[in-house]
Amino acid sequence: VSLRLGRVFNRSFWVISALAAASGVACYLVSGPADFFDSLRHDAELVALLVPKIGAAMLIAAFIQVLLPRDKVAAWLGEKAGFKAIALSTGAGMVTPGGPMTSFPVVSALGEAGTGQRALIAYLTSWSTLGLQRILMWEVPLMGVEFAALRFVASLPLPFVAAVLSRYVPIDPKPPAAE
Amino acid sequence: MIDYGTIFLWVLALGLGWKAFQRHTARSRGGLKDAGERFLVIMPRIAVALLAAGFLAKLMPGDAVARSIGAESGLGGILLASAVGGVIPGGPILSFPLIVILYKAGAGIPQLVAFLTAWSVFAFHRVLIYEVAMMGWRFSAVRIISSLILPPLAGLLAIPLSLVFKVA
Repeated sequence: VSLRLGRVFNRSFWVISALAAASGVACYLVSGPADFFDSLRHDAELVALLVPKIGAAMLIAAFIQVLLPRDKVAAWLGEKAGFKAIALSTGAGMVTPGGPMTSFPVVSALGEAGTGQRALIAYLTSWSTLGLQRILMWEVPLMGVEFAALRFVASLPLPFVAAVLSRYVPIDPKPPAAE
Repeated sequence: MIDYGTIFLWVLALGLGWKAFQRHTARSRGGLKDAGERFLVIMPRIAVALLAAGFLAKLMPGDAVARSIGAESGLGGILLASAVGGVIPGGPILSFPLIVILYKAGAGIPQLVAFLTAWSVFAFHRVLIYEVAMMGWRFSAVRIISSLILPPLAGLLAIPLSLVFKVA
């Protein structure tokens, strides 16, 4: 109830709206009214499909944050090492909900807990390519289950590949004698 | 509209909510309020983004898309999609509708997988704002260099997989 309308109708909303209006006019003029209304109907259906999914996804993200405080996850992952650490970080990345404001604090907490660089890279790669919340919220409704499943399987090796390759990058992650 | 995916999400949400309220009632109440606010912020944005995506898809020159990143474009198309996906800014609200546009315009599945992977792994605004600020540029540099091969790799893996999963 205490929601300020300014947060809903802020600049990024108006930029996207302007884009929608301009492309709508262009579609009407170039492709014709039939295409315009066809597109409108299809998008209305898609929004109706998304509303319950996004509502549930928001609740899942909020409750996971309540149940799995990031310092606990960090402490738990920090104890593991080697391949096990990479595998567990990949799993943790999959179930971390939300955008960068939820995942990067986990990464920095993990760094403080002593988790190795390879596990951190696996975590971030997994969160960005295998993150279940984004798959359920965006990919499945927009692209279909088959596409989402295909991309998920194709992406399963990625956290491991990035973690292993990071060993050969000749940059020292710790600045020399600075911090 | 209700399908199995939605039912699954709601069962999961209610189960987690029940557990969360049992253990930390006050924090769960805060979480519930945040979730409601975020929903109200995000939903209108998604609706207009989808509108824009639908209209743009009708206007998109389908044959140009199909020629450059269609299923027939092979490794060249995968590399092109990886490069373009890596420099697209913005969150899922804009990028997923864009994927739908490209898909409707005739982009190939392996190329789309490469595009999405590149966008996910490199998303520049995220790298700049959060990663460098919290982890330092050295960490970002190591992660990005180790990840350069990931989008084409995922795209190549998608070629045999698209025979298993029946995606047209």
